[in-house]
Amino acid sequence: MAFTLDEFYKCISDLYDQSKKIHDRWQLIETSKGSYLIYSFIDNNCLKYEFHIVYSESYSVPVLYFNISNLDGSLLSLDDVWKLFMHKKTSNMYETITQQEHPILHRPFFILHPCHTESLLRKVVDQPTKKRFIFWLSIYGQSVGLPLSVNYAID
Amino acid sequence: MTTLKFVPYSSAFDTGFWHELTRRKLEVYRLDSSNQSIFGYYANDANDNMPALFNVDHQCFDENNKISNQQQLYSVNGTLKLVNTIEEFKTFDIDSALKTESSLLWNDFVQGSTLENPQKLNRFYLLIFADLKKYIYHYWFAFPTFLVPTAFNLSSPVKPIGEQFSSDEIGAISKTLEANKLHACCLHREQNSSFAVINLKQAVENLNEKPQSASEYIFIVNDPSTDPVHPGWPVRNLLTLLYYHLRAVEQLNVICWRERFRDDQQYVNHSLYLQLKPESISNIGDAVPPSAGWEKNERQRLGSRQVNLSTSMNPIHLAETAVGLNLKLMKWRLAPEIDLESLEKMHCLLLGAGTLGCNVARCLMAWGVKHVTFVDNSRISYSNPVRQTLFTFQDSCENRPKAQAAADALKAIYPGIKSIGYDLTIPMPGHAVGESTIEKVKEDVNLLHDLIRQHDVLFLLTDSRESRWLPTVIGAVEQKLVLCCAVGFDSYVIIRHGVPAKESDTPPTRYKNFLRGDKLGCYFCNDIVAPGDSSIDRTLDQQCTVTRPGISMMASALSVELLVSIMQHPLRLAYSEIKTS
Repeated sequence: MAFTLDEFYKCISDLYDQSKKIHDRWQLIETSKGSYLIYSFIDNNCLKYEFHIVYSESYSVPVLYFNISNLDGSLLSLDDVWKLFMHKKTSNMYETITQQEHPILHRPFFILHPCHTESLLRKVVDQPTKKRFIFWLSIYGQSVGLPLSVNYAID
Repeated sequence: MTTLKFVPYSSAFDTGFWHELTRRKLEVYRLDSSNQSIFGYYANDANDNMPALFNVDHQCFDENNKISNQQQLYSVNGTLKLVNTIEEFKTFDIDSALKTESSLLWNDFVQGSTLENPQKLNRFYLLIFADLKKYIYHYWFAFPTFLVPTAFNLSSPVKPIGEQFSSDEIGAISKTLEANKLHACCLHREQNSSFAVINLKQAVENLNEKPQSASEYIFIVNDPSTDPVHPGWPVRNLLTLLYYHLRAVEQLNVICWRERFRDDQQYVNHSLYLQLKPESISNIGDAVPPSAGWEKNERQRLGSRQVNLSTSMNPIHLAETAVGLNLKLMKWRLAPEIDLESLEKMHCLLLGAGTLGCNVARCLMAWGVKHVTFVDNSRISYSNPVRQTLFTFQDSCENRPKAQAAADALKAIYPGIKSIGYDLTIPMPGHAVGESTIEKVKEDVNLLHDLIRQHDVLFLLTDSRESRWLPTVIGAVEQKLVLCCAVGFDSYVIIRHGVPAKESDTPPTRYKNFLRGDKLGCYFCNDIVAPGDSSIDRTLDQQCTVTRPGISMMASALSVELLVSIMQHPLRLAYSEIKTS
């Protein structure tokens, strides 16, 4: 079940509003080339995680872009990233990590390739758009270390 | 009496900072190494045991884009000094840079503008040399602070606010601070056990007027430190500021405010409460007091740091990673067992850099083959580029040798490939060798033999039958995999030559219904005509290969796909070919 661009924008702006309400740290970035959400935090090992939710025109679904870096700004390699999440490897979703240029920032990011997103979203086809969006984010995000408060799933 | 000690900032870069710095260096600053205004920020919501981080990111260059829509981030102005050479970086006068930066800070302190705008409690200086050829960045941060007073004396040990205030009081304090966006402010305890926010300037005036009311005032400063007894740099600078401005106050109450939200729950009890006995330093006058603040490096020494970002910023690295990852996509669902590493290591020798050679090379490159060598003896003519997909019009104008031009083109398309071109005539049966050329022909035979020995796979892609004869023989002797591809007008033939087995090898028994690889024939065994000079007595259209343009692409593609399939077979070229019934 695809998202239209308008539905996507509605979803990210809702998530952003809710984030503000619960003092979470999502940021909404609005540019002339499109809007996207950023969530970043530094974990207890001083690794900086940065997640971006960006719309994919070709798949008509949201895509999770992410990078993990050291405090000097150097990025972890794909092998390092895999090692980091090895213990979470419960599905073959992992194998869909690849590197791609961020469509707005034009910098390399890892992505969970959107080729399976639509079939995943078919499982919640009856749900309203916002629910489908959170469903997608919780599944894709948890496999790469994105913390998502349960509050987002509660109306 | 114990003295208060502080946790210095630890610098933290966002990757985007380096990207934006690189862009500005190349497009805006160029050789301009004058001071640039930038800003960074700190937060007061870090988890326990984290360093007191000071962050810079890609927005830091933009004066107008002060951190938007983020709570709990406190911006700090600073100076960026981007020097042009490593020598300049190494011999940089760090003392005078720190002095200049701290005098900016001090002037705001003494003139009172910091009291009005507590954002000015901190400044930073960032010295950088960017080696943009290697993507190595040398950097050194300074966070100026003053060496006056010599000690901050505590009236009682540092403790969490929970030990000083009741939970009702903490609730009232955090309610009062809810809307506060200032780096530092002051709370005044009101009659009805509530608090009122007053700015620093007002608080200092009130206290200087009525020093005996000091216990009613609690200074608040947002604190980046997470240490249970040591506050961070902003607290240190606030204390210096207050010690300078307060005249006769006996007691100073400070809360180092640390506020975390996790899952919509607010946590503030780890904030620190300090009670100090200030000693006025107003007598030091307007002169800038001595300062400190250069950050220590990883070895805990005063020194610069460096970061190598070539893997994330060097375009050649990026292309290699992207090509590798793109090929790996095949592994997701379609061909999980596929062996791409063997292809990457394989050395391919392409005899002929014409239509077939160009297309075979492109297809090999797309499979991730990293070593491609061309052999050809001709030069690029005007008719070539439209079919020979590695060449351009310019190559024909320059009449370049095909082998070298093809190798250069591959590297231009993908710098990760290793490719060489040899301008070499393959000696052919039936083509007479004169006295004067005997030595040259011997050299050519030796070079060809060496090349075949050094490669794993041999593609026969020349435009005549007889030029394929010698490589076929050498390929068999050296037990190399030979793929022969030839095109007609609307037909093509691809032959995988048999690879003679070594005597020590025993035939495999694991596979049924297979044809042994060493039993396969070659281009010539499968023909009824012996190789001879095919270029005499032929019209021009028979000498040049006249073929439908798509035929070469199909034949080249199938030759490469055949090679890839052979490489996936457990027995490889040594033995077998599964027989199709």
